[in-house]
Amino acid sequence: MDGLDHVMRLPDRLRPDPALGLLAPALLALAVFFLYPAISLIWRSFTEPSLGLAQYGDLLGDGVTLGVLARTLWVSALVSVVTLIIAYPYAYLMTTTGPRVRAVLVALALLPFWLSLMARTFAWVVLLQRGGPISWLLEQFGLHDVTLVGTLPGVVIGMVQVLLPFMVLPLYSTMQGIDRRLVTAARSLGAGPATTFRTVVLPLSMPGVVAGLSLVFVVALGFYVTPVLLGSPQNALIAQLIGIKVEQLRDFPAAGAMAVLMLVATAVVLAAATRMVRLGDMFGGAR
Amino acid sequence: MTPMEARGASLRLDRLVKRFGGQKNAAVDEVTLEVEAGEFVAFLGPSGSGKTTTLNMIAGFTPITSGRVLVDGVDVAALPANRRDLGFVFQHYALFPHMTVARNIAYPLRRRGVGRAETDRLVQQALELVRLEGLEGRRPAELSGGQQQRVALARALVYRPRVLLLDEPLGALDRQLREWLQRELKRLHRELGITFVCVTHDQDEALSMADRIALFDGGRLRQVGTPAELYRTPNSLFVARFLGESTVLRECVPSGEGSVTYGGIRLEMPKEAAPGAHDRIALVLRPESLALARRDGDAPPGANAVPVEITDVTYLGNTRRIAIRLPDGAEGAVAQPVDDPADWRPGEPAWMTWNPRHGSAVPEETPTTERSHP
Repeated sequence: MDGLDHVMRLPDRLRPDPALGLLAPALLALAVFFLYPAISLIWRSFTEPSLGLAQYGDLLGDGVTLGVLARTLWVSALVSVVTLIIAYPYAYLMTTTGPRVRAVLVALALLPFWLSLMARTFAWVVLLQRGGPISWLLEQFGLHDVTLVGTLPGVVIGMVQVLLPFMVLPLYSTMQGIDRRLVTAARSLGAGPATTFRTVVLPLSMPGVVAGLSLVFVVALGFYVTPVLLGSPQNALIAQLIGIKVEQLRDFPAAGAMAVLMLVATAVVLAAATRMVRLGDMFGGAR
Repeated sequence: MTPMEARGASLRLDRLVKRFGGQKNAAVDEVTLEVEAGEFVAFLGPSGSGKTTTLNMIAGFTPITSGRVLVDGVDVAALPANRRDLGFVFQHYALFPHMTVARNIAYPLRRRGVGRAETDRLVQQALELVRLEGLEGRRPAELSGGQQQRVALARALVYRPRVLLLDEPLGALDRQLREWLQRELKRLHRELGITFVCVTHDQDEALSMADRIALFDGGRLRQVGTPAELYRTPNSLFVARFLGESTVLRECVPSGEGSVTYGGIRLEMPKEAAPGAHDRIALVLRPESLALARRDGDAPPGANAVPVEITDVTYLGNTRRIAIRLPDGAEGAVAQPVDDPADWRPGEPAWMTWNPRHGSAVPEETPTTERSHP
């Protein structure tokens, strides 16, 4: 009995770990609710109305899609950078203040997660509209008649606010991992506060910067509600275009082709970011 | 190998005080200390005794509540840490993980605007000094603890500071490595002539490395002196107990010139050991000054003798440690050379004898003071 068992036994590396069974519910859900629809949409983009790349040819040639894709990438990049500029000092402060102030800062950073995205975006509509508080404020500085609703800057402002936690949290977790004694060491070796920041804190926080940037960038690429409410059809982003194809034109193959273009763009950005993170790990990960 | 030509600076602490917000007792309470140029001083004491806080105030990491820190006579208390030009070695090395060994060591040189060629030369020299040639391209994570601490030393020495401050520099290393690095530190100190101030809670480390030991307790300096002075003539029960092993005869009452009574037994005492005008003293005896005799009459002429009971015998290689119990119940120890044929067994009565010159008298402490210095 033992002998037979031995013969039947697979080599160790081919035998699946029984614990992998714990993944089954997650894998099933992913397969049914994500993989199947995604593959079907992609499949249709290559097969309808006929087998081939006709859908892609149409999209690339229609003079609209490429422009929208470029705008989406540009807005997402801008949102990522602006978010970084706002979140970096915030996250740094979180690591240097006492526990009470830190608790308040963490709560403020997480606050957006507790409010509905829709509610927050409508709040921005109110704030940014013609004659609204922000328009009034700008008027005090001599900037007359500024309406941000329906413009790309309005969209960027709204998206930055919504995506801020996605930047603050990875930055904070990386910065928290930086040994404070390194800062003291740099000071003892003759570095002033600014030099210490530039030569020690900044390089060691790079993994968090790259993680935050890629997270915000990828989420921004697929943003729908905020651009729809704060932007306008003239400066639509790719998600809006996909929405129009599906909801108004019922053109699933075209929507699928757009989704694939987005997917490719996202994959390219993520691959580049992963390379950078690995580089960052080499510098900062060795503690 | 050319030793770096650096010269130590003198260091003076003048009534240095650190009071942390909301605490009644000062963490460092009026510490005054002179460290000569080129001296190796160890700050020794239990944890929470203020030794590290004092070091951090010298380095400029902790703001000073009051008092002065003078380096070569110049008060540096108002200068930020990066302008004090002192070297600092951290217990956990604090090497920059994102830099190679060479760039770690070059860091203080770059902050001082040293040229590239000169930097390379000095880095090489520092690596030779700590015997780490060939490791310049490694990252800290690729080094052992001992190697990391030597890189940290090289980094703190490469810009030739006049004072090197070390915070438990060997605390994170295993015993063998620690002993070797103790010798390395002594060698560096000898070769460089820099003033070393080293915080440690390890009495062996302080005894073996330092020219002088500053013993801290409860934020105050209890005694400052050479290792031999602290060991042979402690000024208090705290110092006697903190450094080395001792047998203490408590509650001795002076009974005229050069003698005391301990539980009815008259003990001779050298006049210079008198602790001043105290009505009660404690007599501190080190294990190697004590001997054991079977009978009172066996004691050498002129020696003091106290009856004891043997409680334990431990072989320590070159000596036997014989644990004893005094008439008042206190525990003590006698170091017996292994070539001494006398065979003692637990439970046996004996006479503990010593030459009166070897005892040192310290003021008896009231139970209340003792509770605050357990």
